[in-house]
Amino acid sequence: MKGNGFVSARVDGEQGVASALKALREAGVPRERIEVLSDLPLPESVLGGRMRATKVLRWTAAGLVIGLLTGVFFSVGTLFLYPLLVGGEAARVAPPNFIIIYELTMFGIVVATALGFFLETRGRGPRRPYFEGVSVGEIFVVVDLPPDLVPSRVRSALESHGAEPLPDQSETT
Amino acid sequence: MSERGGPGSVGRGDRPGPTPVSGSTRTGPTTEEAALAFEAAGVKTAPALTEENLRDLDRDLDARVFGAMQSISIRYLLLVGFLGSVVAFGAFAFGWQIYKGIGVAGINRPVFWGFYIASFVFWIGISHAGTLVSAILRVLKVEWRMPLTRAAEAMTLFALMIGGLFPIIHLGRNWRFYWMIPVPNERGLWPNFRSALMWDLLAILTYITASSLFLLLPLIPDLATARDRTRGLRRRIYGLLSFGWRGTQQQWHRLHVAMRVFTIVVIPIAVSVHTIVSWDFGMTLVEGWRSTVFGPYFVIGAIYSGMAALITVLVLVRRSLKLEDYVTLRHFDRLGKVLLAVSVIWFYMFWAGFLTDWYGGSTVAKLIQHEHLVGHSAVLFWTMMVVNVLIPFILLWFRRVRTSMTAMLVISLLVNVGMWIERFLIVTSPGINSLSYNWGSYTPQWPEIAIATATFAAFALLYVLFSKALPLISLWEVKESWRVDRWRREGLIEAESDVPPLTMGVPAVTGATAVTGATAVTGATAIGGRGGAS
Amino acid sequence: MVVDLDVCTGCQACAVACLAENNVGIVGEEEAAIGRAQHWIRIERYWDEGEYPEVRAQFLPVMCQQCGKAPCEPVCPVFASVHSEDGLNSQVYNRCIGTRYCAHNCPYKARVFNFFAPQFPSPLEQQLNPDVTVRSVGIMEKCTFCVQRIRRAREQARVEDRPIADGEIMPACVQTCPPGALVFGDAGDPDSQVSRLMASRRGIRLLEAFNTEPSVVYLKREGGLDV
Repeated sequence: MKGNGFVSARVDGEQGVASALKALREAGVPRERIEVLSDLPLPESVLGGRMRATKVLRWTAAGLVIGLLTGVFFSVGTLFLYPLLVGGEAARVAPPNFIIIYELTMFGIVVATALGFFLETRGRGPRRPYFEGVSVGEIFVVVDLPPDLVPSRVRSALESHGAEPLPDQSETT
Repeated sequence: MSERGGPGSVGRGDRPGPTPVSGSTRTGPTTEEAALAFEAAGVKTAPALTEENLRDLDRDLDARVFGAMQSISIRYLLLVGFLGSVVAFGAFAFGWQIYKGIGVAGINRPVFWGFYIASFVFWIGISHAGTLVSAILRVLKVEWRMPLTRAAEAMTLFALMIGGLFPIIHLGRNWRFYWMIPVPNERGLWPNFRSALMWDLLAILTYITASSLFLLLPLIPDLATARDRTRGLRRRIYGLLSFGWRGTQQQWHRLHVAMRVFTIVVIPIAVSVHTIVSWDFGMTLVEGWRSTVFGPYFVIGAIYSGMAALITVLVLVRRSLKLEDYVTLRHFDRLGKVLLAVSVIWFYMFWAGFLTDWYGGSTVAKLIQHEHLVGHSAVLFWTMMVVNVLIPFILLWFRRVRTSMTAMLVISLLVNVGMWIERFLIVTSPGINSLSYNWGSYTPQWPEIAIATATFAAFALLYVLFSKALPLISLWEVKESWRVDRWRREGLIEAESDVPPLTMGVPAVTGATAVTGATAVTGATAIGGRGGAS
Repeated sequence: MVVDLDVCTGCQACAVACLAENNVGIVGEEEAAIGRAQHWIRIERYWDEGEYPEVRAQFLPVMCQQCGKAPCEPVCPVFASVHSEDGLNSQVYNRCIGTRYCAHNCPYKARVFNFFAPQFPSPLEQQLNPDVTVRSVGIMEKCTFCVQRIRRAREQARVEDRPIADGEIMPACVQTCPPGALVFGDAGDPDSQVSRLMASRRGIRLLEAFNTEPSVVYLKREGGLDV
């Protein structure tokens, strides 16, 4: 997604978020280019719906499948690789396999979900603006400007709706 | 949270919404409740909170938590030094055992397992505190869990780290423990997945992974806050650990989704872990072990000791980090009710197994029971009965007991003494077996005692270090829970019709036990972002 | 293997022979007193009811029963306890990591553990059997039915291109037993001496309720020697 730089503004409370989002919508900024930074999750009604879908659950599903297959391999496959007789049972038995498959499926889910979360959170692309004010409870709106919008217009749109645009030399992480 | 927890009993009238369900209807606070609410609320009683009030509360919470993290007193260093030296002595004992041979422990034939396995089961049991409080209460959307989750999740992780060491310490050839790792050896032989010990390994591996991530994920926003509050090396470490957290709503949503997966998955994992631990015993041919009730019995035992340990830790942490306003007496009141319920269930499970053995069990099983009831282990057995069943059952009915820190500390410690004894009695019961020529007894030797003691110190040490390194209260979750009330009032969150109006921190429950109380708030839109997305 | 309890005198010669044949470590008095004696075969002595001198001792030689459905085997996480092709219940020393789970699951308590590295006080080290591994600390061991003798006899027979004769293989305990209470042979061969003895109406298996299918049959006491 090519960008035109960032415009950031501090807003006042949930109402501020709502009006800033309204202003941006009127100024023609697509939703996926808007970020709202806060120190706690805001209600979705404030944001007018979900900001963007996450792919974490796909990771979960992939982890489930991989874990399940690993479990099947461990419990069933290894019995074929090196069959040994124990306890007078057949070399290949089923019931204990379910435990192995169960545990490894869970393991796969857990690891993959976390991996998906971390990779998605780490993100790619240029560094995005961040403000330490977030961690003392302030709320910020960050706009990743589309190519067809000029910063000043977005800035004034935000300002007219009570937000407080910030200079661009924000700290980043 | 319950600063304005007062609303639990005062100031609810101004909120719209239906009457609370399931026995939580009450017209007004009793004197006792009002007193408790006042006690819990302290000076900050305010029925409706403005954003300004909330900001003040946020700042106060941050100041306390980060203040506690940054001040290091002489007493703290002394404590770390003391605990560290106990741990070091345990490490020395372990080294001695490796050097001389496992025979320096008191184990023998027929009691091949002793202190180490008892400790193993004990610590794995303790680890269930975090899962219970954090995950189960999270699933049930019980809001009062908020200030407790982090402390409980940390307990889970630390207890697992310690518990997981014991099977290795206990091995005859500890230096070969990695032969159990599921990779083929040089001849292409894999480990035996039919062995309950392999199930153990995989279950504990899964659980320790899940619980460390379960701790880490909701910690990330707080780590980002810590990153912004610190400078220098600490800032860089926190920055690294916060994985580029900026607090965007996308990130919050993603965290929410990931946590939902974890919350759901971690509960069956926890149940499976202790079930499998119990199957180490239950699956065998050993009289006194072989049992079908062991799975659920051990799981409930784990939850019992975990809850008790959580109460112990909370009493101590609350006191030492001055978190009285956040971890309130109402929390202990509820935890006490849960403990009482779990204690009764534990006794029921115990009785189910005991009576079966007594009525139709084999001679050996009956001999073991005889030994427990009137024999050599009678003192241990009856101590267990008194501290695990009698004392909690008599005392925990009283709110005065449940809200007395001293009483709760003593009871929770006693419960864990009892649970330790229970594991010890189970693990050493093969002293009586089918061929009476081979009967034997077990006396722990100094390396076993030193190592078992060291692990308690190690647990405390991990906790003490943790309290300086990371916020021991989940800041964002607490802050969020404070706002839910206002959000609902302002119509930002839908007030679902069949849901009791949740007050912040203090749910509208007065049911007989906290278990039913928790059910009463199931499905509540407890938290804004979460409730909306679920 | 067949153990005739009517014949056993409890003389413990089998235990000594086993120690010598199988390089079993000597643990010493103190260790033995707390149950760490390493004997692969032991004479369990049970007293009948009665007041001295009107009492009788019963002797029960117990070694690994080489179970068909050995409970020790599936519980080992590293396949140290497995079934060999010839039906023996074998312990692979170099795989063992010492969980001692197998020992718990053995109803006969036939498994012994090297709590310390095995000791051979002089001059015992002079008579170590070169055919048998000297075990290390922290691993499980147990009666093998003198597998080294079985293998040797089998190889000998193969070289000479003949079947193994009945009674050709003798574990050390069988070879030593003065009254001949222990008999070893091929239970699969209906004409062998053990098969005939096993068919005796006196034949019982130890702790049969556990359904472990032991290879050892005891001929229960019906008179015989008064000791």
